[in-house]
Amino acid sequence: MTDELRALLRDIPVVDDRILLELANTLSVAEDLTRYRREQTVFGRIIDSLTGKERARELLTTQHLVRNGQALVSWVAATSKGSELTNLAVARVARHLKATQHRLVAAEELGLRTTSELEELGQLVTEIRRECDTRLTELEQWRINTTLRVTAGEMFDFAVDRWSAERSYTHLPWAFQTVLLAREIATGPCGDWAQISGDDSYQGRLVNRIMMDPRTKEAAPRSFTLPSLVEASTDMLPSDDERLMMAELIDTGLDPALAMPNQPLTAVVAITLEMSTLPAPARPQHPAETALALTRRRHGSVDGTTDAISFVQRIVAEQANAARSTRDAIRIDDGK
Amino acid sequence: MGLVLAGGGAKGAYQVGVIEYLASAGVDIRAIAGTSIGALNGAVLASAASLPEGAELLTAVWERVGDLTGPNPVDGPPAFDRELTGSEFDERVEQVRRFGSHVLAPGFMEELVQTSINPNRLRSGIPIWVSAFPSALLDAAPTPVGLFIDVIRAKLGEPARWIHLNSLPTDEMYEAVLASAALPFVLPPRHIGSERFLDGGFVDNAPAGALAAYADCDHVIVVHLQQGLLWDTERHPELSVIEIRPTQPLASRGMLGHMIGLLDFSPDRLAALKQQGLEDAAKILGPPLAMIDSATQLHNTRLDMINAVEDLDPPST
Repeated sequence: MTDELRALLRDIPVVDDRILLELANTLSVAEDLTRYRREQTVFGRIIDSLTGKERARELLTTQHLVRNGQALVSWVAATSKGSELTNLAVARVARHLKATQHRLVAAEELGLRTTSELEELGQLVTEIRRECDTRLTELEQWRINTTLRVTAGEMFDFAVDRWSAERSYTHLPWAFQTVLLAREIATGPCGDWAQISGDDSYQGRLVNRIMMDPRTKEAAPRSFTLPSLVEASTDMLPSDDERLMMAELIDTGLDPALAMPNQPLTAVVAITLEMSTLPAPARPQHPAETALALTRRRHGSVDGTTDAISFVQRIVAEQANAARSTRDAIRIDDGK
Repeated sequence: MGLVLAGGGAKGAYQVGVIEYLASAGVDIRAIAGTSIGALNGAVLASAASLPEGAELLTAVWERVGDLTGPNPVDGPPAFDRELTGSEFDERVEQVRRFGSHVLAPGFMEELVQTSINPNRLRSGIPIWVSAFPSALLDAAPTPVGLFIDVIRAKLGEPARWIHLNSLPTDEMYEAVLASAALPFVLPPRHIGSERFLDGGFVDNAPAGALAAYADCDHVIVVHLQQGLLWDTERHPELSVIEIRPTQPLASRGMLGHMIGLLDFSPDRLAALKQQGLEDAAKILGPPLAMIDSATQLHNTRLDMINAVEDLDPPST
């Protein structure tokens, strides 16, 4: 397209310096000749008329004016062509400007759309991130729970299998083994999982496992009284040191803030063990009955007659509740 | 640009003003042609290293001539817009007699030419041609008959000779300038080689033909020393000419005023003529020089415009 401009440039008549000098000179000479003739004296004019110089000056003046007109025409022609060239170039530039304007508007619209889409994308990404965070949290919690559940199961099996294999709490009476085994399970991962999940089924499985063990039938074949079981069990411990050790195992004598809250049956066992180690003058004749009476005074009604399944169930439940209460108290203290 | 300096005696001071304007406008003079006083002015200019230096040299020469001829006894330069009155006429004749006693004294012109022109610098300077009319007479002393014969020869078309100063030996260089100014019966004719020459103003007072024939000039500035001249640029169609014709008379009217104008070298008059030359050159040359510059700029801006539009176009695949 620019070839069109260059072709037009070639068509413009060359206003070279010659035409411009001609324009200026012809006018200047005509002016001089006219001035001379105007200011000439009468005598001078007569002489010039006679010699022909007057006519010659008149002709020369006319010739210069004609040449001036011709130079002017050439200049005007070149100027017109030049204007045409300029107009064409301006039109071209205007078209370019319009195209640029359209591109700018399109770019602006595209920019606005892109901004809106980017905002939507941003919101979507935020939502996805939030979902991912939630999901990851859920997965992490599931992992923790799964780990805890698996650990709880493994520790339950480990602890109970070890007791069944007579590799824990050996040499202790069956009643005290039951208390300690129930405490071990309740204070370990099983108790943790039961508190988190609300699933207390481990208590039933523990009761079953204890009941299935041959030592249970042997220690408590039919119904019996609680004091007799506890006192017989206490008597089975050969020394005061062992009784005190047993008492400490179920937190008796510890700072009440550190000890698990006793439940009635456990309290009977604990008090019986403690009283049985008193010096002879202070020792009651039947420490278990004294312990039962004291426990009833402190904790309310307590069945004195029971059987193996009821004893085991109540011991397992007491230890579970005591462990739950301790965990709750620790959580509250941590929260402070 | 070529420069043609016409003959006109003392009115030649006008040309100094014109040259001063050309120097200030930065005009590049590539060739000079002159007749009579124009030959002397041109020779001084051609031997200068630059146009501004040439203008200064010419100013110094003309001031020296003015000092030599003494001040004008009446206040201010003489009036040029009318014929002289009786008393003015007498005073002017007395002045001319006094001027002439200096300018026309034997040896004055020779001394002026020899002290004003540097032959060595002229040989390597701007090419210059001076116009001189070859006389038919061989006698040393001009006679009315001899002058009449030369006049007839001139009327019958005998052309003036354009003498290239730069190529001449020193003596002939001076003789050529003096020959160009050898006004019959006022100054003696000059010999160059075996030929005798008179004032070139006889037939060619503005020798633009020399530049048309020998110089490589696109444009020529012709500085006349007279108004109302029947000088037509059409006689040199190959040249682009701009004439500087005085906008005010340079001498009083009438034949005697014309003669006095040729010989009045009083300092006040010379200064006034120089100033008028400067003003006329600015008035006449200023606009066309500006127009030429504008035309060049216009052409360049047109090219810039096309190139700029071309840059806007998408690249052709």
